[in-house]
Amino acid sequence: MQRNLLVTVALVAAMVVSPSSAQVLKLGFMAPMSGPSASAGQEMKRGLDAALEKFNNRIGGLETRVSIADDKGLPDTGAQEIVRLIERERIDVLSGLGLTNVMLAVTDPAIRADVIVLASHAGTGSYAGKDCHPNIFLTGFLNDIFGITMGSWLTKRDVKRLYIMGLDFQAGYDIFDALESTYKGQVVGKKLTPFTQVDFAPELAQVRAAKPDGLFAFYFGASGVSFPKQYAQSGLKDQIPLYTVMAMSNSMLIAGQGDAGYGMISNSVWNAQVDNPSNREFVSRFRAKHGREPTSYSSMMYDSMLLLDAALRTGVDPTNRAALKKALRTVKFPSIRGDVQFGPNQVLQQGMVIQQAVKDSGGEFMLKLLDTTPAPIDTYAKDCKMN
Amino acid sequence: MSWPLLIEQTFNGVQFGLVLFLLAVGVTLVFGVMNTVNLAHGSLLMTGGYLLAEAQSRTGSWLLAVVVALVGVAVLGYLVERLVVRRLYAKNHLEQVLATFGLLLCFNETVVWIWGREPVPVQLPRMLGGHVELLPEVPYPTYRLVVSLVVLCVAVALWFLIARTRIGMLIRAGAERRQLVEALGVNIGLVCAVVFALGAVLAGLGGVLLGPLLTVQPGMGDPLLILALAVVIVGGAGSIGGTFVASLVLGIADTYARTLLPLILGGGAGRSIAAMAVYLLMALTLIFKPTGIFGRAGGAE
Repeated sequence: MQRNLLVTVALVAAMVVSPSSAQVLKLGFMAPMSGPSASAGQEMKRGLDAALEKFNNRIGGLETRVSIADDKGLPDTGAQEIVRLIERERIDVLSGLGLTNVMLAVTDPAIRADVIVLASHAGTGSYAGKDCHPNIFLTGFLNDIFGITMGSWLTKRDVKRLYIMGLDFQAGYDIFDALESTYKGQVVGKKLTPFTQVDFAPELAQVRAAKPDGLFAFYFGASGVSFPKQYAQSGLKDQIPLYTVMAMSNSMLIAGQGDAGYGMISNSVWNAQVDNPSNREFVSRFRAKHGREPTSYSSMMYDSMLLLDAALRTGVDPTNRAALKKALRTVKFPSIRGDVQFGPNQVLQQGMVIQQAVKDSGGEFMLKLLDTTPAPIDTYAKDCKMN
Repeated sequence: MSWPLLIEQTFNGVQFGLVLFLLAVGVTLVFGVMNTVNLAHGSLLMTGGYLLAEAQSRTGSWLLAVVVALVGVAVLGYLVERLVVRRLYAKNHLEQVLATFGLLLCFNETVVWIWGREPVPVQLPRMLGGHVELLPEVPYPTYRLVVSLVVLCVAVALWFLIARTRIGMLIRAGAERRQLVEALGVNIGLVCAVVFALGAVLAGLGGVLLGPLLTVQPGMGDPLLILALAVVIVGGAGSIGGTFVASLVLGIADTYARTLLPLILGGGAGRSIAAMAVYLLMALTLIFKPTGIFGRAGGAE
């Protein structure tokens, strides 16, 4: 009995002591590395790798152990993998997260284990509003800011009649509703198409017949290539300007889009030409390795690592979660996006850029910076009761 | 809706139907002659698209790339039949579905392995890039018109091959009474290989023609294969004429439903029903004429 008690005390003592015994950052990274959204996940990993290279595998000056998890774009796989990351790898921080539905499945276990979540790409409004939590940081963006800024920008540009097309799913509704809330012109038509649809000729014929001043379209992945191609071949490219978001116009899709991909005007939370030392260093590092501009997937991932690094360099121990959360919330970090800061709901508040896909002087693809728009008002923050 | 728009939509529907025909005819031939379900047929379409892209980037010639792609897919189809599909003829349909679904996964991953996950570029020959005026105020992309014409020519050639040549006669006879044909001393194994390779070439042609319109990426043929299976069911498995008619019916129905239903029923409901239109037609066919509109009772189940 006495001996058993002694062993128990020793074990408990060992458990209490061990976490602080070495200054190590255990970083989890979860993204769709295979499956239909794999190109996004792979590109996020490139952003992570660029950050690890920059910090010489020591984020915040601490030895960094990275555990990679492939959620395959499936919520149930994500739910399994988060258990592995927490129980076996004992991660301090979970980064990545490409898809909203996967994020919904992994945040609860992460919060229960007091793991800090830096979501660099998934951006659903609920985590900015009623489901906000001190452990969740949205370092990427909310879906609706694309619509809000594009709506007011198109109004400013005097686009009077607008046609809207896009994929029939949640992020699409978020963006279109937000756009219609700030756009003051007339929406002359709206067509949402299912994911399985590959031929857009009937819809494009209706766009032509409606004679709008502009077409706003939101497609990505496979349809992000086929839609601009069919739009160009239908002859509409010379008649009706195409407006979209960064997911449809970037250095990854242009290979498939070819000439059809040039000319589109899109908005984004980041642009390679944003002029600050952090961004210049990131873009040249990425270009040297991959021979093209980074995309929003890699840049947002890289930026979350800059944030984590800055927070840890204030001297907090990653196992002291309360201190790390406070540091993440308050630290001033050299973001590649320039001047950004967290709102009370731990969503990064940021201005946006309007950009156009063009060929640079060397004939290479580039997103030319046309305009910047101020940070839109976060409509979710009022529902957030952080505790 | 104005008349010019309706005419344009009819063209779009016919063109979409013709493309479905290219894929569906291979499925229906393989089903009719070998009584085999082949889910990997969409992979052959994908391979056609990738071979076109690869040959185009290497040679810079579109025509040469088309030839390379078609020959490549024919060889691949022949090999797949010899190595894998041949062993499935005697198995039941569930096992065939499982095995060919495995093939589909192998094809998709092999493509990822060779070309990566990101879409590959396919350029259109410049002379086909513009659009023509069908009627005044009805401009139509030249390339889509060319696609339709090519498929129509292929359909006629196929009809000639099946109805008027000796190999076509053997194919028809094989579909009807396989053992009898074999007993007459015909190498039915070779007939099967030819049929499979023929289906592969047609699917590959689909990939070649669709490459400039769609996204050449892993799994690009799979969404189309689902529609092609619906075409096969509506047209009657094994019937080429039925497949042709069903392709056009479903292509036009799909296009009209997508255009007209949201106008009539409003956005939400119209869109939902439009997405189901093809499958509703398929379900109706299965209820009222389970063998398909051109299928014969007592033929292949």
